[in-house]
Amino acid sequence: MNWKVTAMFKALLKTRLAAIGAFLFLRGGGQQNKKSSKLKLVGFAVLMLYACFAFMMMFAMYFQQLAEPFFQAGYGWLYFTLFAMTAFALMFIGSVFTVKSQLYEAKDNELLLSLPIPPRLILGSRMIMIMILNFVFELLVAIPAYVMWVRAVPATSSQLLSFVVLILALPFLSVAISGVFGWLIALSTGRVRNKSLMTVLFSVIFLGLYFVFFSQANVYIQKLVMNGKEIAGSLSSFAPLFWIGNSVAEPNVLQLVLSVLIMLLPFVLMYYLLTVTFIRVATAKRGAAKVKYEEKAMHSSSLSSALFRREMKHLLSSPVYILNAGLGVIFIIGAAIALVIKKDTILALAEQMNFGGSTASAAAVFALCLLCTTVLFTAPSVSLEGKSLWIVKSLPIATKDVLNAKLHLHIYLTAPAIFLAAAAAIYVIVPSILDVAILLLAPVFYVMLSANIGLICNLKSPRFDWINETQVIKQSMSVLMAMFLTSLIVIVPGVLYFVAFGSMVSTTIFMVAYTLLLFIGWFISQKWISTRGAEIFDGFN
Amino acid sequence: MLNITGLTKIYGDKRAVDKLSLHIAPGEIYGFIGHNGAGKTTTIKCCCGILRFEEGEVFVDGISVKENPLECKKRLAYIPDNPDMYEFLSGIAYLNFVADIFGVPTKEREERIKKYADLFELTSDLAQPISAYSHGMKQKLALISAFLHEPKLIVMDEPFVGLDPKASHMLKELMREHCAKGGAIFFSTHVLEVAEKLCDKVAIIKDGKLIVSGTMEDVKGTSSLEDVFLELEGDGNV
Repeated sequence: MNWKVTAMFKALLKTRLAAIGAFLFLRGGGQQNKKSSKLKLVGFAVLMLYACFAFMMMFAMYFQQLAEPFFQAGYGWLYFTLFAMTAFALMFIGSVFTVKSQLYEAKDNELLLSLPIPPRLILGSRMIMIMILNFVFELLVAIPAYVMWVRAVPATSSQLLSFVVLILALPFLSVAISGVFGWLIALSTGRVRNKSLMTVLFSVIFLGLYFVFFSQANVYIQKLVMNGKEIAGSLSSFAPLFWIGNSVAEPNVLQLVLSVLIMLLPFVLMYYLLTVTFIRVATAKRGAAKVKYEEKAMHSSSLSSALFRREMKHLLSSPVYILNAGLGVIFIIGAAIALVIKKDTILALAEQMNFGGSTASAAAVFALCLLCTTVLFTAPSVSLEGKSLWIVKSLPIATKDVLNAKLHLHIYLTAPAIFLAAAAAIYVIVPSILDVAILLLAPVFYVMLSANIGLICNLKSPRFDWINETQVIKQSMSVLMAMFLTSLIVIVPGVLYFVAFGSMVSTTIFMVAYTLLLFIGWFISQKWISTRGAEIFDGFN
Repeated sequence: MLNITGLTKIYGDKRAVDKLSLHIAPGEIYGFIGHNGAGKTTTIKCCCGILRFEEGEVFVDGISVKENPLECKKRLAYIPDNPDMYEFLSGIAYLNFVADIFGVPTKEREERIKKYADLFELTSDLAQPISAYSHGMKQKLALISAFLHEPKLIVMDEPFVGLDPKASHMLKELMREHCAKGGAIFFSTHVLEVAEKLCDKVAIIKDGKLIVSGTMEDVKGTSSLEDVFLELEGDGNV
């Protein structure tokens, strides 16, 4: 690689890193002071550490149950094969849509191709970023898997060395496979008219598989422990899976080399194919067939309806927005249905945990509010105005109406679902009248407050110069902050109640106080939005 | 129709617009000329209530932009230099949205959309998502949305960029028609030939300060506007 190529590659990588860095830590409205920047950096680091810790704990619990039984039974190789499969699944699901948007649909593809940069470098710089993303996902599984193994089994340094080689090689396989799937998704969603629906469908299928797997994880683990011999027998018949696991459990250079080759070869093949076809793939017109306009009678609507419809159309046009901000609504409806269907199981579980009367309804309130933390419509909504911000700023629309439309989107979509789930909880628990009132009011107030929190976070930390809206929906500071704060107002009171106050204060009094606090929080935040928040929005340009 | 007095806009240490005063009367097409970064877009955005400004006043139809921005915005239409519009809407949905905001009655909106979309040859593309539009098509859509609610004042930033010759010609006709009905137009441009032929009055801005303004005859005299502009631009004292 000569110095020119190296410099180009470095420049491309720098651009990608700068884009990510600028996105996470800087405001879109202009420059900000160093202190605020540092604070955001620290805040972001804390949030990321918290998220990583939560994931690692989940995987630690999974591997803790497998390490010793598998070692005792002589199926150490199966333990590491399962690690590789779990890590691969997480990497694949976590990056397949990023691959689609970064490799095949990146908006700067044409700009970069117009510059004297070899396509392989553009591709390489993108793949390195995806590889890093994959590696981070992999570490979330690898660290707990190895720690649990070492805790249960006398590990050797050659095992560690082989494990490190394996975790360095595995992302190559994941990038190769997600590269193929990303291409297939881009191809199929690009040709259909309703692109959003198709993408949402694909995503729901992937996420559905993921959640089915994790909801059944305990059953699988038990089966794995009980039937290790049979599973080992069937998996060992597929030699590569055996080599991958055994190269770590019983370090074997030949098997390790073969395993690394299995992971590298698909990547090399995919990289080569993409290099020779990149220009065609990146510049392919995937648009749906043109629809000719036919005059129809038009309907007028009020200003608030027009603004609400604008928010709704934006949401429905964006699979990323639907999936990242609105999937929680489906969870809530799913929870309502599950509550009714699994009534007996839930009641038995409540009895087992000594959750009777008001305690059961308090637990239901916290559980419903916790479900709502996955709904984040308002957190990226200001940033999503993007370069079209001039429209609402130049039209005769009061700022509070613009902001209210964003809040209404969140509330109108989430409140009916949570109301339904609360009704289902009432049907199952059959609480007292006061508890019924709390069960109906507290989650609705929570929805209203969390809508406000999301909007405030975005007003405080907006980003308008995005290239792809995924950047503000998935990776922006406002979304992370909103997620953190809305979780906090459920988790802290929940923990306080079940750990400290439960035995000291009457449940009903505690829950009435919680409901009132949610309402007061909503009222104060609403005031802030309509005054200071509107001023901040007016200052954006 | 548009009265700017002592307008000053400061970004950090830089005075992007410095004590600028202009008056645009009903029926006038007023051209605004200056080099890149001279302060044209900032001035235009301040006039439309998009940007706040530190000093001075802007009145639209006698109403202060500072005091009552909403009433001012009801009377004007703004077209930016780069019309980034809602890519998630179709052309017709965008026009309907703008018509809803201005409360344009259904019958009028149908008639006006048909009239202007036909004029700019965009009718058959109105069902397409804006994301599929070219720069020129977006520009045409922005123009249709501006004329849709029959504003008294139209403020445009580089309106001819990206338009095909036929659409440019049509825009000039519409600008004249609008002013003949008592409206006013304030627009920035780098196309000096267009400004020379189209404008009743012209203002030249340099480094945020107004260098010269007045009727086209007063400003250019017997020279061409291009010669006058280049001369003023080259003169460090102005």
